[in-house]
Amino acid sequence: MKNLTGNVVILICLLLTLSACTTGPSKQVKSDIRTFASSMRIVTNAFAEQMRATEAAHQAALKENTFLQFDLGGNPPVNETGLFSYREYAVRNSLIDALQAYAHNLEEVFLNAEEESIALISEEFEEIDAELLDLSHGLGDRQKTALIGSLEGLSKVAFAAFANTEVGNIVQKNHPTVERAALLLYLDLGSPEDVDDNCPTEDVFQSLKISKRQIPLCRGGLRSIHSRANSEQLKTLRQRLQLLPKLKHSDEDREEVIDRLYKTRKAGKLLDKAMAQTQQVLIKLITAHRDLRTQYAAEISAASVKPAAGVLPSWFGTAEKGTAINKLAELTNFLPGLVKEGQKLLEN
Amino acid sequence: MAMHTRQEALDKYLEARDLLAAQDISKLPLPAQLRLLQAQRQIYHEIQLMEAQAIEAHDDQYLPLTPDLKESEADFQDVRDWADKAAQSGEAVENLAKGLGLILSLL
Repeated sequence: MKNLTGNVVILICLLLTLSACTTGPSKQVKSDIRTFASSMRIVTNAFAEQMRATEAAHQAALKENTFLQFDLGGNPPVNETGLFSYREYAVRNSLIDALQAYAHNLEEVFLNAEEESIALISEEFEEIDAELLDLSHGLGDRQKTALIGSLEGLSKVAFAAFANTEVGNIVQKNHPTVERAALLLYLDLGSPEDVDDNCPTEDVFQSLKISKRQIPLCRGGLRSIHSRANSEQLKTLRQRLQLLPKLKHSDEDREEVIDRLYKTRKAGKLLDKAMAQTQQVLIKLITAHRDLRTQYAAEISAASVKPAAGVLPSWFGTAEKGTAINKLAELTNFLPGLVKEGQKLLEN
Repeated sequence: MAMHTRQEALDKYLEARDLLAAQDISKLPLPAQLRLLQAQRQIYHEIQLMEAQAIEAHDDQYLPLTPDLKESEADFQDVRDWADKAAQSGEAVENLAKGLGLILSLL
């Protein structure tokens, strides 16, 4: 009976220690994962569309010129190729799909585990007064119920701890790829103007720094192409206005041309704003993943330190402390052993 | 013929574009108007192609990143597999818990 009581005490203390040590992910980690995943959803929906819209704005500028030449009686060639090939869309879409799958996995595997984690078990253990673990006093019904509920949650505890560590490793491993991918997309969106006099002219990745929520770039990329396309179309519309009395092949009146001019200008501003917002989201995404990597580096570093014997109650024997600590250190493997131990206990 | 860097070529196109843009089209005779519009169209298109080529040059940097990220799928699957095993262990623990409850009531 004494041996039985000792084993039960070990089990209870293991659970108590687990509830104290396995605090699960910090709020910051959860917040970073949610920010990363929601940012990625925005980028997925926006980027390809904005690339297509840029191409469309370029084609609209060419068409405006073509129509004006025709309306003047000219016969311009209309054989210009598109700006972007199928391959350019495909390599970017593939990467965005892979990033989206990564973000989805991160959110699903980690947050699903977290939802079922040990908040419950910790709360239940608060109901148990450590002094009552002197089993000569026995456990009340409420404590027994709490203990059973806690035992049933053990697999969830172990999974949360395992998922936390493994997701940490995945985040560390993939961080350079995620950051580079997001920076490439940012760079492709580019800038309609040189951001400052020191915009990088060599390999941007050598000097790329996020500063004041932007990355200094030279003029270039989709925003530059789109901005030029929009300006070109507006310029041609102004030329049309100037030439309107002489146009023999157009039935468009001044009001209609002016109306189109305003609409074109407004559409240009809206698209550039949307692309700038996508860049902001990419910075948010990079920052969230950087924070996540830092948080996990800290957690993994802390987890590599073995639990101090002091976390166990003082009345816990030295030999038992050693056993319990070893079991905690092998958290992800301890469940089968625990079950075996419990079964032996029941057989006795 | 002197070779130009991409940036030099782009600068020259931009300069030509600005010169053409400064021309008041309404003061030109019709043939010149058409030539001006065609010249503006060609220079504009060349500039846009150069900018698009700069984007295309990033393609090779994108290519290795996609397989790298896809490799993480296997790592996530490992976590899911472990979760399945944990769920199975959880059932055993549940039975154990019931037994322990019984023992504790006897103590």
